[in-house]
Amino acid sequence: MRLLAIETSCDETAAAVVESDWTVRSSVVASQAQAHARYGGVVPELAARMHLERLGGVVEQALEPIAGGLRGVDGIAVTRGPGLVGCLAVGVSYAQGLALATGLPLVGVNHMTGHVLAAKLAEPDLEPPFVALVVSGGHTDLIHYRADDDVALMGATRDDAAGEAFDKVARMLGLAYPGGPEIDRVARSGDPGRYRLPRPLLPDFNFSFSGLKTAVLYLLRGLDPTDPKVVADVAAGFRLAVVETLVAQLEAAAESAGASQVVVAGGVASNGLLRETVRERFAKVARVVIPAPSLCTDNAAMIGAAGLVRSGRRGFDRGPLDAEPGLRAYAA
Amino acid sequence: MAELVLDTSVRGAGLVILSERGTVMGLREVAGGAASLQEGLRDLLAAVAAPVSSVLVARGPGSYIGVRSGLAAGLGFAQGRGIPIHLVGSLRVVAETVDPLGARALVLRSAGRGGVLGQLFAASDRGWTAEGPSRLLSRDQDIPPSWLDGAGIVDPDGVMPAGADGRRLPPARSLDRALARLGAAAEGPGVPYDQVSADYAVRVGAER
Ligand SMILES: [Zn+2]
Repeated sequence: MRLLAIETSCDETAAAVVESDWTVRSSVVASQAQAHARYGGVVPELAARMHLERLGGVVEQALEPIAGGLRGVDGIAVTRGPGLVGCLAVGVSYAQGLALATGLPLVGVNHMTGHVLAAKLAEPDLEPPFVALVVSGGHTDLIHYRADDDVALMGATRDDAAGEAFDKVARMLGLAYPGGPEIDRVARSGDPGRYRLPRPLLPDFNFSFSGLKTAVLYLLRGLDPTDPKVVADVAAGFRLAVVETLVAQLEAAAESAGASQVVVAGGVASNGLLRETVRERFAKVARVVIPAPSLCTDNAAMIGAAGLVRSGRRGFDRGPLDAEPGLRAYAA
Repeated sequence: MAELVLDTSVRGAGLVILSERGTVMGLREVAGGAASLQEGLRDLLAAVAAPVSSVLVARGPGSYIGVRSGLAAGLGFAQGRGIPIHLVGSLRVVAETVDPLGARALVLRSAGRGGVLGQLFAASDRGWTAEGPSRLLSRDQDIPPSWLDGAGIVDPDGVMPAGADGRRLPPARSLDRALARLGAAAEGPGVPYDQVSADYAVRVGAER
């Protein structure tokens, strides 16, 4: 089985070809980050417009290494939700047109399940059960992935997602959007111990980053935010606080679930410090799977992985698909 | 050989399959939303046996999601078959419901939320040709006098300015026959698959 996968839920236009042995034959991502940077966040209308303009070329590129092009694939996977409605509509309608034209079967997949199953592309022998920390611009979730159709949400953020907090603090520090990679870069030369920021630990494996964000705001009032040393130290302190919070809750969740395997996924999982810290903390107690950074940020290979799992368990979708912006994360 | 036409820019439009001679072989209305579009398309393709050899899509202006869904579905279909995709302005489709009696026509359509879409067309031997970009007026703006200057008005949504009734051009063709004319006119290699884009109309006052 070889799937062509399409992802347009937010601000990356992506297509990939993935094999049932979890090999990624191609993965093309056209990022819109630059276009949205001057607005300091994703503009839904602009994102949808750009998806339409780029999707045809991105798919052509993804099919390039496949002999026979579309004739060389066995099915199509597309993100059906959650995400921005106009963006999802472009991907779903396009995939349906493609499926009707070729007679290829179509499977709609959950974007958040895609983030988790990117772990299969990194380590194909990973099998459930495992506990996963999924951190992105819109989600900070701890899930117990017991089986492919049995996923329980253990905890989530009560306010900002971790990625969102990175974006907002980056703006306070005068850094560019998206904030995560910028803070990661600047923090490398900073002293994380100079400013001590709170580690907000909520019960039940939940998260809250708004207090931490406010703490940075107050801290900056007494500092010179144009001083590169100050920016680097605050960035380092903030990054450490976020990472320690995430890892502490992941440890608690893994222990509570008796997990011998943990997965870290989502865009923020490309953060260098988070990756190192998780590997270090779990070195002796659990197997750790963290996909390569290119499989953590939004991409279509992960949609292909989720499409393989879903079509393998339930078959392809028979009826027409709809864009489902409010689809519950990890829902089958 | 047949041509698949998609116009999902406004309510009541839909999907058509045209024969090589421009006769309508099948027609489906779609309610909006990706699933309804898909259902209509699947149903239409099953009902009309002729192989589709090109696609024509209305590229707006109109409902943002409707226009983009239609364009995306048309693009996917064309790319999947390796056949040309042609694009046509949504207001041109409306213009083609009228015979070019005068030299110019102003097409007006409701854009929802009190907005008004307008575009000027000139009569040519190939039907109506756009004189400028499609434009969007807000609820409170008056229609610029230059739009009305010497132009008959095509106004399926009744958004005509007061006192301009005498210039109304009545429809001479049904919408599907208008699409048939446009389908027959769309020849050649079409738009490259990586250059398909929608027309969102220029906001009047935002021009420089
Ligand atoms: Zn994502």
